[in-house]
Amino acid sequence: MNKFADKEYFRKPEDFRLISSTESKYTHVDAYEKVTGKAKYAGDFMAPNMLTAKVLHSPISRGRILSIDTSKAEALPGVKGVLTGKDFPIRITEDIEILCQGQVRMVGDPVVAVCAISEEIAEQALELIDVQYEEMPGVYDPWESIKDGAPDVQGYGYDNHNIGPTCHQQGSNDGKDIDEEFEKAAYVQHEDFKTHRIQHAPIEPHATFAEYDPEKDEWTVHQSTTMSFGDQFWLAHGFQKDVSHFHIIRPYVGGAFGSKSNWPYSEFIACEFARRTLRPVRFVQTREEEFQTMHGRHPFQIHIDTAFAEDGTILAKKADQIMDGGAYGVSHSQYAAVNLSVIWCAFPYKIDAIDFRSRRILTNTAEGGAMRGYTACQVQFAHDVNMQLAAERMGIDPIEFRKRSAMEPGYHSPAGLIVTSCSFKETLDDAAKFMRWEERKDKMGNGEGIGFAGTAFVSGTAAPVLNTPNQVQTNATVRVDLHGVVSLYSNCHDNGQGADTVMTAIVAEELGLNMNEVKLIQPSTFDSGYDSGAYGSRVTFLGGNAVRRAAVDAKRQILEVIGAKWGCEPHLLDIIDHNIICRDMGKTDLKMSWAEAVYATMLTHGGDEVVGVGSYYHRTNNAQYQGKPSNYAPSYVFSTGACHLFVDQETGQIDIDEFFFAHDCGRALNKRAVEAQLEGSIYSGLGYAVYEELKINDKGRMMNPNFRDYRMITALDMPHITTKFDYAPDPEGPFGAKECGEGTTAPIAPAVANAIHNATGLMIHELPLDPEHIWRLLKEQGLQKDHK
Amino acid sequence: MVLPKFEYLAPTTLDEAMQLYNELGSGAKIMAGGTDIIPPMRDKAPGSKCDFLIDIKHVPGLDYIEYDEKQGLKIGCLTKLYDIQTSKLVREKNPAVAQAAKYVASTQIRHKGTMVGNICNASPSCDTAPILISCGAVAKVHGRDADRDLPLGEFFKGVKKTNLEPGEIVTGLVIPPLAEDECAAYIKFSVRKAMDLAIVGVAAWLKMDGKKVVDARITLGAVAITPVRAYNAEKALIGNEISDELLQKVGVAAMSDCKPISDVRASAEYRHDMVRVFTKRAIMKALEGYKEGEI
Amino acid sequence: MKKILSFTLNGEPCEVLCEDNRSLLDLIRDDLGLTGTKKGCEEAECGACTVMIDGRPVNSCATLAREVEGCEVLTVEGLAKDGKLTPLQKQFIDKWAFQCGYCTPGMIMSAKALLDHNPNPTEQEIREAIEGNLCRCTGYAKIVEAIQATAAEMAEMAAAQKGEV
Repeated sequence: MNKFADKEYFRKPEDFRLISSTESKYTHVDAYEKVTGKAKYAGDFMAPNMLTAKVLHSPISRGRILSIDTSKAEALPGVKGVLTGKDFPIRITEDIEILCQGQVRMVGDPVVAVCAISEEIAEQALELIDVQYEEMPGVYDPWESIKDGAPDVQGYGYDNHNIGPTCHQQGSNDGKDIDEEFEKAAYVQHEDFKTHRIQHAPIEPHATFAEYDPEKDEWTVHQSTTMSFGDQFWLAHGFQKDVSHFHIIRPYVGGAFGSKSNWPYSEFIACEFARRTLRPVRFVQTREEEFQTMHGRHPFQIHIDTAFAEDGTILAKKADQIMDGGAYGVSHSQYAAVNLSVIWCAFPYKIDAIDFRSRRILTNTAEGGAMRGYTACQVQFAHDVNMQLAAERMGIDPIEFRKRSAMEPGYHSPAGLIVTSCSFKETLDDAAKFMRWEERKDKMGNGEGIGFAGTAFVSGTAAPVLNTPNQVQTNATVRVDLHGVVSLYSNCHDNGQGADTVMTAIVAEELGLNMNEVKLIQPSTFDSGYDSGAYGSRVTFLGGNAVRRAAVDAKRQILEVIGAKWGCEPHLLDIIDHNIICRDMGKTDLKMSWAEAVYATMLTHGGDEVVGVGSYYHRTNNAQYQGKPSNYAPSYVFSTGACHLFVDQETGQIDIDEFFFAHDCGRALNKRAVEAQLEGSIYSGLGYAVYEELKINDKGRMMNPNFRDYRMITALDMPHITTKFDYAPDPEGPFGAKECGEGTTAPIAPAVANAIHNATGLMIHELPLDPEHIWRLLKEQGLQKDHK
Repeated sequence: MVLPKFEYLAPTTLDEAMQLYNELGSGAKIMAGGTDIIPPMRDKAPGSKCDFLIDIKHVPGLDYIEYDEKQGLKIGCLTKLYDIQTSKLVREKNPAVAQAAKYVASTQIRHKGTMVGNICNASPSCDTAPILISCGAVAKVHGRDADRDLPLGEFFKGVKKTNLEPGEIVTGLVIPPLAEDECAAYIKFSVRKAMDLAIVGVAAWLKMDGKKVVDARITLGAVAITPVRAYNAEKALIGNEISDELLQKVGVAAMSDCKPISDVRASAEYRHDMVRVFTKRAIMKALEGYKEGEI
Repeated sequence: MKKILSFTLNGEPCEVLCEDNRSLLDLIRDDLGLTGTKKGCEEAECGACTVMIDGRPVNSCATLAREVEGCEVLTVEGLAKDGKLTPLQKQFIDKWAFQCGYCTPGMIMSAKALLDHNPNPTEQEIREAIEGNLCRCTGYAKIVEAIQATAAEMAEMAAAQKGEV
């Protein structure tokens, strides 16, 4: 069944047994394995004759490789192989070399790889390698980088002045002219914002366990990935073979947050060593490698011009945004960064005239990439604080101000976005109510503040990354055996968010079975259908819709047979608690057990097994990448974050008393899981807002690529959290569900910034809001005692 | 990542440990909990390498917390930070010491690491040193030829350097008792509430006569190459009655007592000002005292 | 040079040849194949490698294998007995106290060490007990809830037992 499935067979909300149940009726399908230590992650795979691979990285940010002497390393007993750039002549995604071939472009660039019989020998071998560089001046600031005469960051000879992908989108509704809108505005505001660099830092580092079968010329790769078909595609490209040679198995993944939707050098190196040695090869990245080479969140610099009408509604907005892309990413995978960062400017408000431009600039620093709320955390921080400042200057209550321009169901943005379900205003009201805003807003002392922020996100990114027929993003199969046991073949990537659980629940719900009667086939690129990966908040919406259709396809086949036997319309039948029931008036006492019905169906079909197939897509074209209007996702979600805090006016340290989060995610498929995602989002957003920052020195070197000085929030630092998420079901989402857990990181930083502003009167234009930054602002701006 | 090669030795008597340490010379290191030895060694940090690691945790009689009215609190070199933090005796006799122990790293580290190890590591941001210095604590040093008492105020020489002679082992700490009219506190200022290194740490020990400060010892951590006494602050404090104005003055005076650096955790400028803030707060905390169950 | 190391692992005697520079973490994972104990940072900062040694929670990455000579080491694999999950493990499941599960073994070991010492901890004490266990998914709320629920459940069980006596 495809997108246009016969929805008559879909389970009706009044019959939901598992979905959105108020009690925790279903738990993680991987629960037992995860609490007992049995769950295997990629780095847990081992074999008796396994080799360990390691990489030597560039210590400089830009330079030519003059010579590489690996002779001593090769002579070390136990070393089984050494690789350099010349062993990987192919570039991945246009500008990435597996091992540098003549030039290094950032500190941490991989230069030489070794493999040995033990980790110890591999590390000793690295120390015996002598690489001579001719150091060249690098550039570390995006504005410097685009100046005439700036160093060519990559040295490939592209005539791009270090400017990578650019997206410029202009448009209006009802023939409005943006300049005229600005002219007639009651208030025009110009603001500049700046954000910093952070890292996903999943506790599980990237790991590869690769084996090679020379008879089949086939690799089996256990990879910590959230995009296994991408790994397969790029490995095939790297080895100049077709994808049939690469069997990518996704074991448990220990968190990703965007970092595992890539194809790290480590997997190519492990695969090449496995091919050369015919032995299993393990490559587990070190924490320093994670920080330096696994592309964290882009730093942004954002200029916003906004035109407001007398009543505070937005007439028009212009934004010019540049992001520090680091040393790589001129290709399509980074188009998403500029494209999405333009979309976020259009959210979550009705803005009928827009002019947004984003550019991704190369510098000799660590590459930036997708991270939980791809560019949304940066852009929506700026654009929401922009709203807060405008509200205040126009003398309108910040909740009321946001509501006046808030998107509503049915709104078409000139950016091409079509809003379907939308409860943004309700989330604002709920946040104000929870914080007792009306009652408290004039009663807070100095140093005490409440801040709100409203943001939006996509529910199901359109692009399937690879070319697929009909732009299909997920293909799922549900197979029912003669005993009625159901197997689900789905590649919906679980990285901890619970995809395996929710997909199992969807099938169990549609077929009226218990969770443990649906067997999820542990996914791999050969075992089940294409799924483009866990990115862009697409898993539940797009994957869930595909899996649901596969289940309903199987269900329909069974109901058609039983319907014919009973002489009634098959769509009047359903499967409830292991029984086929009939809702045809006068025949409601008819009943048949699931097992019997499955057997009867097979008998009718000459013994064929019941197999349901499902696929789902949201079709767009690449128009958006050229700055033209396009509806990026099938649905959108809306959030309000609210924060009550106290600012220590001597130290600049904040103490968050309470955090409230209202999220319009349609119908929650699993309430505990949604709550957990929201709590995790607040954790992640607070880390970004206050605690985490990767610092780069004037030589392009990362100063704190470790957990000691990269401050990740501990259990003692988390504030008390309350969440709310019961809003209108989405018409297209599976069972009415929408995105949760990615875009939900976006409103945290602006809510904290707005609360600090409320507490102190400080104008905040830059992240992070660590104590020293606030202290500096207090010194520069002074405490605005009468700001209230 | 693999640790560099070394030989692990586990003596079971102090004499045996001393003999090994003196025979093996500068290539040998003494280890108790090892939490400040193993991770830097793996990172190949400067000064972390050694040929012999002498683990003294099997030496009996060095894991104790005792109190005697005259000498005060006695803590063995194998006594773990967690045990100090949770000790009823320490919390009762000198809660600031328990608090300082609790500030170190994480629960896991404190279950393995020792207070003596924490000071012997001689990190400028060492969490337990300022309060020990302010309280006038003494390290019991066991040497090949003689034992000696080394006041904590004279213990530190530089970053990761102490004034221990080659072959000397610290077997314990003695922290003088707090008299009725004396009080002490330590405050660590860091961005995170755990797992973080201090931006500044300030310990205050005061001898009071009503509202008047009779004597004071203020020690600053993380703002110089070693923990340092804030003599100017002490001078401003001694002989005066506590007031908001006095505390402001003392805080400013403390700023002239330190030479902070800028690093990835904070700028020198910020540290300087935080010395001012936390000197005041440490003094106030000492006067206020620790409540039951606070630590 | 490898030497014999003897200790008790999850209640069973264990004798293994090991180098002096082997960490307890690498010994457990790579030599003994118990991969439930996780490697996250190797610098005693993330707590994913937490195990219990003689009842204390420690970072096995910052522990030499040699240090556990004669000690009792407990890893996550040693918790469930006779096919039964412990109350703590069950509460981690019920309260949805994990997502990716990578920090979970270390988290459970820290929580167990806490409850063994302090069966009735306050929320603050719970948070302190897991301050050295970084979780990147949950925001800790559900973990704290699971530990609280375990304490309550164990108190109830203890009270019921008392009642029976």
